[in-house]
Amino acid sequence: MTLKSVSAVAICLAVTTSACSRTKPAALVGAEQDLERARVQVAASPDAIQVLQEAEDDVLKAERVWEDDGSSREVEHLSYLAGQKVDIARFKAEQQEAELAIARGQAQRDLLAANVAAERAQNRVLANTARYERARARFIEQKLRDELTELQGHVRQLRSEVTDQGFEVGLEQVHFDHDTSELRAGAESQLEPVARYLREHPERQVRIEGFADSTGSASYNVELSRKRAGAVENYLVGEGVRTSQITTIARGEQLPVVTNDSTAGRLQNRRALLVIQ
Amino acid sequence: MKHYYRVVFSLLGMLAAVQALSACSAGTQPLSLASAEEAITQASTATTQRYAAADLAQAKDKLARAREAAEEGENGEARRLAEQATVDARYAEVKAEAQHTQALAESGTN
Repeated sequence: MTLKSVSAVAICLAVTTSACSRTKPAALVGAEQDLERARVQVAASPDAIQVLQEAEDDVLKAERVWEDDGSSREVEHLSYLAGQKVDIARFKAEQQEAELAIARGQAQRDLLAANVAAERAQNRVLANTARYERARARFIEQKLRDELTELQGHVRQLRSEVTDQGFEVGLEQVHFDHDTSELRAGAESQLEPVARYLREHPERQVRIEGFADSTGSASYNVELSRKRAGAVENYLVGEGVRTSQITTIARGEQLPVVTNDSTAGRLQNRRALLVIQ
Repeated sequence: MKHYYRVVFSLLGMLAAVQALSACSAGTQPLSLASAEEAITQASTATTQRYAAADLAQAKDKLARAREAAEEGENGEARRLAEQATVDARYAEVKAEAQHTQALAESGTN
């Protein structure tokens, strides 16, 4: 043994008691590398991290056995355990990922189903709203129709009353030729419905007002207008109207309806007015 | 009198030591063998049979070899084999579960 080799052994002993100049077993190196890689891969799974902790304990134990120059069989054994545990951690991480994928898929299906259900509900609401609007429109239309029918009935009744009597309720007038109090042809057809109405309604009164145009003296015209009222009265009495229902007034040339300056105007003013009360 | 007590105490001490030794070797089986057995039982599911049958078979094989080693008095080897059988059983169980879940996830998304 040379001095040199003796000093080398001495330095070796001084630096460390073991593991000096020996190469680390491949199994242990492999386990360490596996462990480091897996740390990044399984970072998201708490279960996996816990198993990695166990693997790390095995690796540290293997390191100690190796450094203490212990059984290489034991180092290999602990490295094997660590390697298997690293794989177990990986499987656990994969499992968690698959479970998340299932949950995500389920959530997506649920969301889809909820969307479909919401859409259906909205369509039902829209359909109901449309039905309601149609029903409301039908109701309003029917109501308007009923009102119209009622009004039409009312109008028809009024109109039938008017036509039954053959003259506008309340007023009728006949005209006379110049300077005469004889009823003109056609006057009787005008007066006949009035006579019938008065016969059928003995409670009603008729006031006959005679008028003249401005031709001739005022006193003559008063007398002429009295005769004209009387002619109408005679006709009505002849048709069966009671004399108690009739009053006559002679207005003379008073209250012309139009000017007496024209022939047509004068004809308009030569008249007898019947006012039913 | 003093000597008598000393003899009695040493005898009692020896008796206790013998009892402890017998309990360790001949009585109940070592803890690592029991753990391996338990792990294999727990891993023996239909899912493991389907997805990791070979891994589970390896665990069972190691347990059998661990028992043989124990019978031959190779305690260190027996412990190592039993510990490996335990970790192999866990490996088979977790691997099968993961693959089963992945299969479910894939069938669910398709």
